[in-house]
Amino acid sequence: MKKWTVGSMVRIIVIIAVIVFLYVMFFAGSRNAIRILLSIALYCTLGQMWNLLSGYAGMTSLGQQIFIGLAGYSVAVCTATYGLPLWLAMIAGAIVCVIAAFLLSYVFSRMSGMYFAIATWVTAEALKILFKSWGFVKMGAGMTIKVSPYPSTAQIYLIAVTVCIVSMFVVYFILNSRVGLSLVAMRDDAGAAASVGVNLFRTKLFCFMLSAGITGVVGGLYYLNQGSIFPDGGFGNSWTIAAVFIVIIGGVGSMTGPVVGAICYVVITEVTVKIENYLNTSLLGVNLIILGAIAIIVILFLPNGIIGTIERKFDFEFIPSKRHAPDIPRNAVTETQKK
Amino acid sequence: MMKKKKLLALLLASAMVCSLALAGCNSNSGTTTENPSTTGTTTSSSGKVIKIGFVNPTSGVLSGFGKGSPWVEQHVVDIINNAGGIYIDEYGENLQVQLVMYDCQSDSTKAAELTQKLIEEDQVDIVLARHTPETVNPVLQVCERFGVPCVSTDAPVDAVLAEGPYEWSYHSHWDLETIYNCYQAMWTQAGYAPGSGAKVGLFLANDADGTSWNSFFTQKIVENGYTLIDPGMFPANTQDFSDIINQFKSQGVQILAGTATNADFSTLWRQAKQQGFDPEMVVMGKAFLLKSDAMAIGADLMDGLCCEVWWSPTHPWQSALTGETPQDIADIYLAEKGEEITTPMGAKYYGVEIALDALQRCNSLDPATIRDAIGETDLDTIFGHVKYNEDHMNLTSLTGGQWVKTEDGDLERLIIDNSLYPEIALTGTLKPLNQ
Repeated sequence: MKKWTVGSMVRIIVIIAVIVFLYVMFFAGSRNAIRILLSIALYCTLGQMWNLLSGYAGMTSLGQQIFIGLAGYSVAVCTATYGLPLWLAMIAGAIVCVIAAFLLSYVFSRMSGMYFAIATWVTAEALKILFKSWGFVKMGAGMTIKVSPYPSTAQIYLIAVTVCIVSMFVVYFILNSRVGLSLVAMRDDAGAAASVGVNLFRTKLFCFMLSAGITGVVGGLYYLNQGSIFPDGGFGNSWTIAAVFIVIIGGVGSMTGPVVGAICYVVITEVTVKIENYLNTSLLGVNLIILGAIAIIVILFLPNGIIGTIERKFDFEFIPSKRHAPDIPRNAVTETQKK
Repeated sequence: MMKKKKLLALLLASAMVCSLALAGCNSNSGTTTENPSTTGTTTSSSGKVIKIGFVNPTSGVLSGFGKGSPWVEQHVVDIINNAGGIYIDEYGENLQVQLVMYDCQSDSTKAAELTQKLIEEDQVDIVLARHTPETVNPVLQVCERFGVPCVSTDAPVDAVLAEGPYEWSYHSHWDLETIYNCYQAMWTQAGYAPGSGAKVGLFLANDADGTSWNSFFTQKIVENGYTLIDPGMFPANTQDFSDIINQFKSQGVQILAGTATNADFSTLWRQAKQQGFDPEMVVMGKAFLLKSDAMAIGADLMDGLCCEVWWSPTHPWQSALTGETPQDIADIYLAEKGEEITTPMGAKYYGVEIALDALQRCNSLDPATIRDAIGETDLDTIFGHVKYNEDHMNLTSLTGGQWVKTEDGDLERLIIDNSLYPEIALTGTLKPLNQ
């Protein structure tokens, strides 16, 4: 029977308060607040999925845009070409991503480390070129999402927040399950994990497909909010830059990390636009320079990210993502080692 | 070391808090991007202003088109503001007009994202969309979704209409029929009349512009008795055109035609010269409309290349709103900026004219009323007369031009064909390319 501590009670109250706040914003938030929160929810989900792959499973993907683009185009094709209802188009987008992940896994699962990263990146670039030359998706001219009535930003926000919360719960339950232990074991030492019975291929496949499906939903929602999709944007590497930045800033291997990272990312992007306008000039790429500089500073001085550093400092996890042996104090191992 | 880390963490946290405060999570942040140069104007007693927003390709591959913003738009707005602004019934007084501009970096996704920002954060009353289908179509889709009136210019009508129909957006530019006829008139002048069987090589990227040109041009070239050499559309930003050049060379292409960005055409043309491909005539859209783009390719390489001319200081139009002619605005720009005015600046100017004229006629900030007023536009602008059809489209004039190297090594663009719009004066005659 789990004992309720003051810390866990506070944690639950804070989580419930944040969730209630996010849903209250649907009714009470201004249009601009909802626009910004929508971006944060989408980037947070993207970060969670990249964190699941890289932070927990050790599969550092540089090609998450594969699923963003595929889902965005699926929504556009389903609605504009076939006239399907939006909900069906969104589901179709996620299914296409899961199937694509399943097929790609046969190649990707045989790679690890840098080879896996490069393979995902090259696949995304290849898809970009393919979509630019494919008449069915109107080549480089892009596609418009045709839905009637078109959902409002607030409605898209409602779905995005729900997806974000659900994705966090999914990650939480995975990490606190047998699969979570397998993932971490695989990340730390794949050979040792295999020798104690972890099915590496199945674990990687599960993780990759789950990440692809939820990232696909993010892509579908993002382009639903934009109204149109183009190959350069859908399969652009800015998606990977965003995911990596969000996780590094927030904290790799921490569930709260991508939340803080997504807030930082969206705020920095918004502030950069405001600086440009204040100076009445274009600072092409300045947001990337700022993001890069912050990432370097964080890697140098806070290698565990903002949240990771705070959690280690106070030995407290905002959202506990690791299973611990039930009756052994967390510092017992350290004490034993000291002796 | 620990103290330093703590200090850094504190600094980062402070930066985040400041950033959050700056970003502002409410719609009335008041941080618009207007150029505040409203000399001699007065603020309304209600404090309300009319906001016109637009995204501009200030940077990126289309930056040549973005040049001149927001100077041109502000110039037109200043004329109206200095005359007292525009009377709005809901406020019972004259309101000043304010511009809000963001740089979309020539990126379609960013253009859509920033248009949403214009509408939801800045709460603009009218959106302007301009400069190629890449930065027009995404903006129109956002305006349609949010029900915001939009005045759009500077993208082939067909490429815009393909993403329609439109309820809130009105577009004005030439169509593919006009540009094809304009090209054909120049080919005819060069001795390649319809039915001559001359070999026309098409050079089109697979972007929004290229795909819309492709279907029309491939059909018309064959219909009009030319021999079409179509190597297929290439991905934008291609670095090696050897395959395409070899096809053109081996099949004896006499006329090179199409539309491309400056970067793509520049790469093709340099490689073509290196590989000995010398067509008798080159007519290319978009690539060297601007003198800066032409000079970037080089005066020697540009000498004799032809393009379409949609607007120039010598065009005979006059703005009914401001009273200015193309030559007036060209002279003012030269005096203030020390540079020659560019063709897309004319498109920027008349987009603002249409928006302001609609506001002056409807005297309202109700979106549907503004939309209806834009639809009823019947106006002489610096770009010609504007009157929209039932598809929300208006066709503008087009002439043929040629870049010629002057004795002092500079480049000059001459209007060498006006067969479609004889009222526009010629400024030169066609010079054969390889002479």
